[in-house]
Amino acid sequence: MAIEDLPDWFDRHHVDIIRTHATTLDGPGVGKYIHRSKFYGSLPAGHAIADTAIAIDIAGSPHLSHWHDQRVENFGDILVKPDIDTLISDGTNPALGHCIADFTTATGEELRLCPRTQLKRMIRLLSARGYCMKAAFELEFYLFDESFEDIKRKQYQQLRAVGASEKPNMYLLKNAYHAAPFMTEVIKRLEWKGIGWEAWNDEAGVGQIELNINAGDPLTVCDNVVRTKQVLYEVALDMDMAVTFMAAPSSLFGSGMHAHHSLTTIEGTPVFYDSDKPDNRSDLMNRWLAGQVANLSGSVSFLSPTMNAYRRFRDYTAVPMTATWSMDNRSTALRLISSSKSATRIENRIGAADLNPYLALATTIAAGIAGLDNDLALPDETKKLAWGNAVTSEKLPTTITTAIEALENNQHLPAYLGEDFTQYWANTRRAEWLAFHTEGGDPESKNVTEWEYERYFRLV
Amino acid sequence: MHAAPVIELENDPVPIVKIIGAQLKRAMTSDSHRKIVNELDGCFALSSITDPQKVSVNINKTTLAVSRGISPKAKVIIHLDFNNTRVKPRIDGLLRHPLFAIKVGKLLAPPAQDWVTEAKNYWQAVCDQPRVPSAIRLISTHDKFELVLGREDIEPEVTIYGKPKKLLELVNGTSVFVSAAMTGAVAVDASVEHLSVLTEISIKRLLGEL
Repeated sequence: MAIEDLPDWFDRHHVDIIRTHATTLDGPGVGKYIHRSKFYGSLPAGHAIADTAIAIDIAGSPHLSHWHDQRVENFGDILVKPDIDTLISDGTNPALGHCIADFTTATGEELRLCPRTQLKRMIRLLSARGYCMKAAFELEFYLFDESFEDIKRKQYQQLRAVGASEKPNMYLLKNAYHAAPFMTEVIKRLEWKGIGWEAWNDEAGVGQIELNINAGDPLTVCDNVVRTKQVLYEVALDMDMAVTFMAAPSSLFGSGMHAHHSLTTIEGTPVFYDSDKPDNRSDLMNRWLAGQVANLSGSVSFLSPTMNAYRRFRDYTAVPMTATWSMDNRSTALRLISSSKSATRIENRIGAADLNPYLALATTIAAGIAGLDNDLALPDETKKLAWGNAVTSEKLPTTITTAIEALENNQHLPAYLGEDFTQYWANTRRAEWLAFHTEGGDPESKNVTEWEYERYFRLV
Repeated sequence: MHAAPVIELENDPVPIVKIIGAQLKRAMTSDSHRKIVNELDGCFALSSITDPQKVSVNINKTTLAVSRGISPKAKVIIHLDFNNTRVKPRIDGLLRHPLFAIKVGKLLAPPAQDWVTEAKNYWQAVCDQPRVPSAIRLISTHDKFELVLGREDIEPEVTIYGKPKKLLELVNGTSVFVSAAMTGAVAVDASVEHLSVLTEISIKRLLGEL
C-alpha cells in the first residue's frame, strides 16, 4: 500500500487508532496507540520512542551492563517505523488498526539490534544467492481456567489447567473440547486479522495446546506469530483465563516452538526435492542441511533464550539433546520430511516456546547460508533414537552459559548476523543468567522457581 | 614465601562460585593468606541469607576447589548477606571446629589494600577494554584527594566520588558499578555509555574474568 492511500484505507475500515507493534530482543511486543492523523503524519520515518524500548530486559530493566554503537546516549529517542504493508483492522475493536513496525535509529537507519531488521537482512542475503525461504511455526502453550491475577495470588502453584485428563496425554478430543470455547474465540480473532491457521490440538502436557499457523514467507510468518501470541493473551484476559508461553511452566512436558522451513528459487520453485537422489534430497538441500547441523549448537542461545527454557532439555521428553539430523525421527534436532516436492522441508525441534521468531529464522537462514557458502561436511544421519547416554553425537548446550559459549565460539553465525549483534545478544543472555542467580532463582531446584514464574509466565 | 594454591572452579560455574573463586584468587596475592591455605585441610560453605545462593570451598593445602551448594563435607557453614557486609554472619560448626572456622574467617578477610594502589592496578587491567573512557577521575569524599586514571591532558569523561572504602570496592572487583551508583555508594558524572561499559567491566572483575 502506498502512504497516500492510507486516509482512504482508514475511512473504508473505520479505523481511527493504530497500534504499532515492534518486537524487542526478548520477544515482547512494544509500541503505541496512535491517532490516525499522527500515524499518517509520521510516515515514512515513524514515531519516536525511547532507546530503552529496544534496550530492556524482559523484567523491564534497561540494559546498563553492556553497550552497542547504535544505542542512543542518555536514553534519547529511536524510531518505530511502521511497515504499512502489515496494516490490518482489529476486527474486535472497530476503531482500531494494527501495524507491525521496525526499530530504526533516530535518523532512519537500520537498527541492527532490531530482531525484525535482522531477519530482513538475512532474507536479503538469501535472496542475493537466488533463493527464498518458506517457513512455518508450531506454537505450543499452556492454557489455564483461572485468571493471571488468581494464578499470581496462588504463587503459580496447583493451577487449573484446561482439559479433562489430569495426566499427560495427546490429541485427546475430550481435552480439546474443554479448550474449544477459548480457541474458537482465538480463531475468530485471527481470521478477522487475516492470519491463516491450519490446525490446533491437545498436546502432551495437561492443559497444553498446539496451534499451527499457515506457512509463508519468513517475515509474514514471524509477524503472524507475534500477532497470534498477542491475540492469545488478549483472549485469555477477556475470558478470565491465562495462557503462557513459558518453555517449562512445570517439571513435566515443556512447550516448544518448532520451526519448519524449505527453500525455493526466487520464482517459487522448490529446490529441496530431487527424486533422482537418495531420500529425494537435492544436493542443495544437503549443503543447506550441513550448514544447519554445523551451527545447531551455536544457534541454541537464540532458540532457547531464557533461563526457564533450559529446563526443557531432558532425554526422552521430545526435546533434542544432540546436534543430529534424520528422516522423520522426532528425537533428532533436525527432522527431515521429504514426501513430495512441495512438502519437502526441515523441522528444527530445538526451539522453545519463548523464542523470538524473528531471531530464530534469522539464525536458521544464517546457518543455511553458511552451508551454501562453505564446503561443510554433512554428518551421517542418525537412524536410531538420539536420546540417552550411549549417543555419541555432539551434545547440544543445555545451559544458558554453555549456549552463550557455543555462540561466541561459532565460526559462521556471528559473521552473517554481525559480530556486534551476536556479542550484544550474548551479553543480554549473561545478564539473564546473572539475574536468575543473584535475584532469587535457585539453581539447585528441580522445580520451576518463583523467580521464573514472575519473570516469564505472563510476558514471554 | 608460601606456595600459591591452585583454585579450581566447578564446570559451568554459577556466579557465586566465580565470585568466591575470584575473591580467593585476590586473597592469594597475599603471602599471609597463602600461608593460611597451606595449613588448612577441610571444607567450608557460604550460604546467603537473602537468596538461594550457596557455595562450598574444599581445601587440601595446595588446592581450593569451589563448587555450588553446600557440600556434605563442610565442617563450617557461614550464613551471610553477600551484598551487605555489615550484617553479622551466623556460623554453624564454630564450636566443633573453632580453629578451622577462625582460619576460614582470616582467609575470607580481604588483604589490606589502599584504594589508590588498587585503582592503578584496576586501570592497568581495564584500559585496553573496548569503549573504556580515555580518562577517569576518582575523588575521595573523605579527604578530597583526586586521582586521574588514563590521559591527563584531557578533561576526564567520567568522575566518580566516594568514600575510600567504596572507591576501593569499585576498583578491586567487589562491587558492580551501576549498583554502586544507584544505591548512592558512589556518585557518578558519566554518560550512559560509560556507565554501561564500566558496569560490564565491574561484572567481569567480580566474576574473575578480567
